[in-house]
Amino acid sequence: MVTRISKENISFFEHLIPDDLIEDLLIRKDTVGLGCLRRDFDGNFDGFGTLILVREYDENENVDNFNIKWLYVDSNRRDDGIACELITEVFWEFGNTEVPTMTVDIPAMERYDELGLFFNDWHFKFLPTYTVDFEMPLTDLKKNEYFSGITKDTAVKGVVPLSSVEEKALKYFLRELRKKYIKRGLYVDIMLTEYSKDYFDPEISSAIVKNGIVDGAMLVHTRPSGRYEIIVFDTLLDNQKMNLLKLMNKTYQAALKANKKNATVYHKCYNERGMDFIDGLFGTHETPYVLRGMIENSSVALSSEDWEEIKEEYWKDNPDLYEDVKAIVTGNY
Amino acid sequence: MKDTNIRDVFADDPQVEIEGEITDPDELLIKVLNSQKFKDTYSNLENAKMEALPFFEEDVIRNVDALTRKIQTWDSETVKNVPYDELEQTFLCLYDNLYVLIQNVNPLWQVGMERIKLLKDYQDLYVEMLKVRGEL
Repeated sequence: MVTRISKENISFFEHLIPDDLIEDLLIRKDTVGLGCLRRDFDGNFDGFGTLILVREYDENENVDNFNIKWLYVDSNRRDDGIACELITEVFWEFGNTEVPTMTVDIPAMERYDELGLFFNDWHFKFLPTYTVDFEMPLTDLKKNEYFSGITKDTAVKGVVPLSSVEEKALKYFLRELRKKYIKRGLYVDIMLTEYSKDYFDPEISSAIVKNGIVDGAMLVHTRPSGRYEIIVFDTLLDNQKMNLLKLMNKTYQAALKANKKNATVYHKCYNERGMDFIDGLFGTHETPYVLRGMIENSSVALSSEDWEEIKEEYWKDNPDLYEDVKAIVTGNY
Repeated sequence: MKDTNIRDVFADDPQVEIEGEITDPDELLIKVLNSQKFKDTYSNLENAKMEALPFFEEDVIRNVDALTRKIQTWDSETVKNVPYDELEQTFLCLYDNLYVLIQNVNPLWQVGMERIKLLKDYQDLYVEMLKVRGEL
């Protein structure tokens, strides 16, 4: 049976979800997890598969896309309809809303042909796209001209660590930033005003404070996988680009001091502007190529009776699909 | 297609040598595909595949009917005596057939959603039965 993953039952599914996504599930309100419970050999219920989707919001806080982030079935329990059980649950919820599109955006897609075929069976159309994720090992940043002069003891003026910023000032900054993004039609993270100070790393994150007001900040969340995830990196005043550089240096210095092994820096750019900025800093870098599947919320009201009438014509127009169904029925994959 | 099946089908075909000498399945398959018997039997079917189209959906619906009838014989008392394995497998088998029906059309058409609704009703019924048995 399919169940919504919550704090109470997450112990069934923990081994099927990456640590970073478990954290998202417990904190972010736009992330939803579904788990499939079946009986194991002893007759006890156990988690067999998980699906995680993110409801993406527009600036008016209406859902405008379902994005499937993760679909995984225990490797010993494949080919048993577990993924189908999970995906039909999503289709039911999606079909009963007016959300226009549902996408599947699993970065490892190209390595798992099987997964691509599965979504193909469920009528997803695949479009080649480039992701806008940026990830770089911390050690590689040393080679960059902006960071080459920074050591653990270099003084960076005018920037303070987040631990010395008041909670109230940070809330005000995030609220103003959200207003700015909406005004410019940029993507707005639904959690922007709901992040609490605890969510950000107090030492790694840095801020520029003047007269008790935060002007700019680089807010970093440390993931269980050791990844420094940049959540916010912006200033309220656009004419002070130097502030961005100062923030970056301060955060880099703090990360050097923390001296974590295998640390990487990660930033998801939701728009071209963010991408241009990253390209400006680090030079044009290659982004990983992934397949992105999409299905549109069809408004064709085709009832069972109508279907009986058009069935034969439909198959004549879609012989490929027919072959697939035939293969499933006869078991000749 | 498995090589054992090909051996069975063409066991009495003089044009195909399949008496154990060939161990490579690919080589065997090529021989079988080139044999006259295969061409005679299957070339017509291939051309006429459109004729056979609606049958698969009807097969699946027949399975669904049979499984539904089986489930309907269980009431709140008798379901307690059904072995847990049989209960789960019956429902999983029913789900599998319903997935085929759902995939068969665009799931987001009304007919697709009707089928998903049917699936969800049976999923709910399974949970209800587990509750009656005191397992949830």
